[in-house]
Amino acid sequence: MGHLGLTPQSIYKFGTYTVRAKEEEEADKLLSDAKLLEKLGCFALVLEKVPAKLAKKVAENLTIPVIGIGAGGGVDGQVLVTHDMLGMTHEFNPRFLRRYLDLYAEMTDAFQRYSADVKSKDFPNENEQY
Amino acid sequence: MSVAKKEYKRVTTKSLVEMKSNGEKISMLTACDYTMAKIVDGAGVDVILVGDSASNVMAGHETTLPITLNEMIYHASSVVRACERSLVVVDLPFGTYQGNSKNALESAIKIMKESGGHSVKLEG
Repeated sequence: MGHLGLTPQSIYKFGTYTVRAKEEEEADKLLSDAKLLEKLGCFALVLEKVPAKLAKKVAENLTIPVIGIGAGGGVDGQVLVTHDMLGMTHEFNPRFLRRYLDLYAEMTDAFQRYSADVKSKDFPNENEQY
Repeated sequence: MSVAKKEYKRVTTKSLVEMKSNGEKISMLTACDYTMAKIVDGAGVDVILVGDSASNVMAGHETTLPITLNEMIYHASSVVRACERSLVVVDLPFGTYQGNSKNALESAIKIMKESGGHSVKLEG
């Protein structure tokens, strides 16, 4: 599987995590790179943080599936980081992220209640022992 | 709840191409441990990516660069033990494939041999 657009392992080269391939030259290169990856035998391709229009064009030009993250709905599939979509991480808020739960808040509440129950000797109760 | 156009007992790289030609969108999420992967797989997500984002979410690094090949293999083998249906894709970490293609092939083979992951992903 290939990976084009924002490639986080090259973060020190890019300098920022901003949207990639907004300019025509970089967009053209991305499309030709995607075709090359297909030709070389990649079974699928991840496109990260590129304009939706470009991502759709790449998907339409390839036989292999294009999985997007921050690449719009015109591609063949979607990927998210599970910890982010569950809301376990709460400092990372890119526009492409849809949070299905707010686990950070829920887990914090659970841990606080547990700790309070231990300290108040509420936990364990008579039914929670042998 | 399922909106799949065709049921797959086991998702393969071939299934993904078939989904594309059938106009069925592919769902993919990351996982880097057994318990999470078990839930993601059981929920019917098509592809599980053992992402090098484990460097951030598991180890607390600021970037994905520090995670090692052996750490990725540890995460991937935990995920593989949980998966019955999902295709498992494992990220090749920074520095294990950029040198030359022989280096890349050796890293990919090591991941597949030692973790049982079904495929690898690399950037660029």
